[in-house]
Amino acid sequence: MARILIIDDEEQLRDLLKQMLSRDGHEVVTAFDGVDGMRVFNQFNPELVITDIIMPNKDGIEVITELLCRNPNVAIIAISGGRRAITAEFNLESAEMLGVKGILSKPFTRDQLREAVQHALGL
Amino acid sequence: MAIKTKNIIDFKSEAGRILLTSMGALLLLMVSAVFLSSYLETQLGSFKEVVFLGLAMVIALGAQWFLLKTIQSPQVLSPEERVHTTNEKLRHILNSITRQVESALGIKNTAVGGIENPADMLAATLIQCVAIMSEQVQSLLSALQMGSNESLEEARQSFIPLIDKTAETITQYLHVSQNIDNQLRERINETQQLLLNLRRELATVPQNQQQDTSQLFACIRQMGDVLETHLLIDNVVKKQLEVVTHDTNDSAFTLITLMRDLSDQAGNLVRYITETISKINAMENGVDESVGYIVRIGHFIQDIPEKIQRDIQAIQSASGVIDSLSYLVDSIKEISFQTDILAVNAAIQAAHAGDAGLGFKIVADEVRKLAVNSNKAAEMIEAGLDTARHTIHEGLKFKFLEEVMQQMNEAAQMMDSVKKLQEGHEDMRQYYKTLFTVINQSNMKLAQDISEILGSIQYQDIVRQRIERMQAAMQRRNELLQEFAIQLDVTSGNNMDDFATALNAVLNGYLEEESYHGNSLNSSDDGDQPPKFELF
Repeated sequence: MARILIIDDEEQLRDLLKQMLSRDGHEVVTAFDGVDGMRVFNQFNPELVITDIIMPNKDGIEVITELLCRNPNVAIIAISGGRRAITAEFNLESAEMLGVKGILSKPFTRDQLREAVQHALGL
Repeated sequence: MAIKTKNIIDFKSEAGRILLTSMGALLLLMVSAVFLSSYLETQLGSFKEVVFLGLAMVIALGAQWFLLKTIQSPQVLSPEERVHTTNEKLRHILNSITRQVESALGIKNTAVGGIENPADMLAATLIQCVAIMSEQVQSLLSALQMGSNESLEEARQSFIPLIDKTAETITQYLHVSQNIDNQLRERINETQQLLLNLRRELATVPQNQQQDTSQLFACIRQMGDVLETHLLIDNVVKKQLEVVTHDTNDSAFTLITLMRDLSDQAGNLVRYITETISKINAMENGVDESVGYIVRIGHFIQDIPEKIQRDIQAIQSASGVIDSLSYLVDSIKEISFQTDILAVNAAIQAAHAGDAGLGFKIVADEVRKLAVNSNKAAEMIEAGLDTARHTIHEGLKFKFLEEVMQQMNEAAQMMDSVKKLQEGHEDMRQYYKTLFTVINQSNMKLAQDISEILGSIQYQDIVRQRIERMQAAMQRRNELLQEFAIQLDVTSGNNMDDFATALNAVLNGYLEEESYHGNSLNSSDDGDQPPKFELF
């Protein structure tokens, strides 16, 4: 099982994801925005990062860019539901262009999450 | 071929010797049989027949002795004849070697030519293709920086067939390399066979005769040295060619992989930008709509003071008219008052007149009624004017409030539009930020890939340099071998002391040059070592 960092500004979704992944036996920590996410990443050194795209302070695109610049092989899953004119499709396609290992459009099922996590971790 | 012919001659000679010996033995047996038969007859016949039979036996023995002597020749030759025979044999060996060398040079003309022309041509084609691709990549990046999606797609489309062309060229290049390698392998085998035959030929010469032809033997040993060095050079070239082919194979594979990745990445980028631009257009249309709405509200607000001013002026004008009508009412009231006084005075005067004034009194009363009615009418008009004035004032108030309400509504709508505009601006900012981040990262990746491709292109040039150095060494070797062949024809092996040394010098010079360029042949054994690059 893997160490996983979840970065999302929606507390409910954050907690739900943590609960789902913990049930699968993963060690999960959370962060509420990009800045907090980078801080936790440095402390926790996770094997997988699941990050939302639209967030205050530091968005998911910045987080992904910074993490991949540090280590091009770091496993990242981007999740997004879009906001107003910015669609989830655009956000996730942008993340894919940057080189993330998986994308999930909100809302998603537990099975979809599990499959994406296993694929990203190469299980 | 010469060796094979020689072997056939030897075989025939040996077979002839066995045949003659057998025939002699058979003849001797037959003579012995006749002699025994005659001996038995002499016991009964004449002495003369015995003499004839003895003579026949002597002749038979002599014939057998002659035949044996003829077929066991060398040992019984004179010293001059022995030297002559050995010299002839050695000359035969020399001629055989000369033909082999000439044959090797014949191979050189095709094999080394194969190294020189097609490989070099293909290497040049390869470098040209890669250079074109490099230019295409640069134009791809320029198109990307210009932001023109059409030019980007155009550059990418022209980029794709070049990848296939390069792959085809590299395949041809490797095929030619393989052919050259096969030819070299074949030539090495032939040369090895030549050396083996040479040693066999030398072994057939008896030891006691080798001293008589010491000069020729020394020459042949030198020739052996020359051929061994020649073989060594071919081996070195073959090994180096294997290194070059292996490195080219790796480099070409990397190059093609990078090119395909580059094309795929550019394609993804084009698709991403195309989709993104259409989304941005929709977003900009929304923002334009909000801006247009705000502009219309601005124009409306701008017109409000003027409209109010016009309304106020109209009201003020109406109010002036009402005020002027008020003066008229006052005049009517004054007239009515004076008429009333006049009627009262007339009534008094009519009373003073008695009966004569009765009719006048009636008129005075009517006039008085008229005055009263006039007054009432004036008061009614005044009341109406007051009502009108009041209505104008009230109307003015109402109009103002209505304007204010409308302004409030417009302001509320404007706030909503401003909010939408702000959200649109935030979305646009986020959108462009994401877009530029993706494009920037993609550009960095493209630049990195291009850098690696340039490295591979550079390595292709190193391959070309290696082949050129190989060609130079082979050329020097060939010149020496040609000179060597001429010497063999002219002097039968004299003045060839320096050939092996010269060939060794060629080999050592080549190895030293390769070592200087960091392409030591020993490194070829270690296939995991990364290729060493040098600037060109």
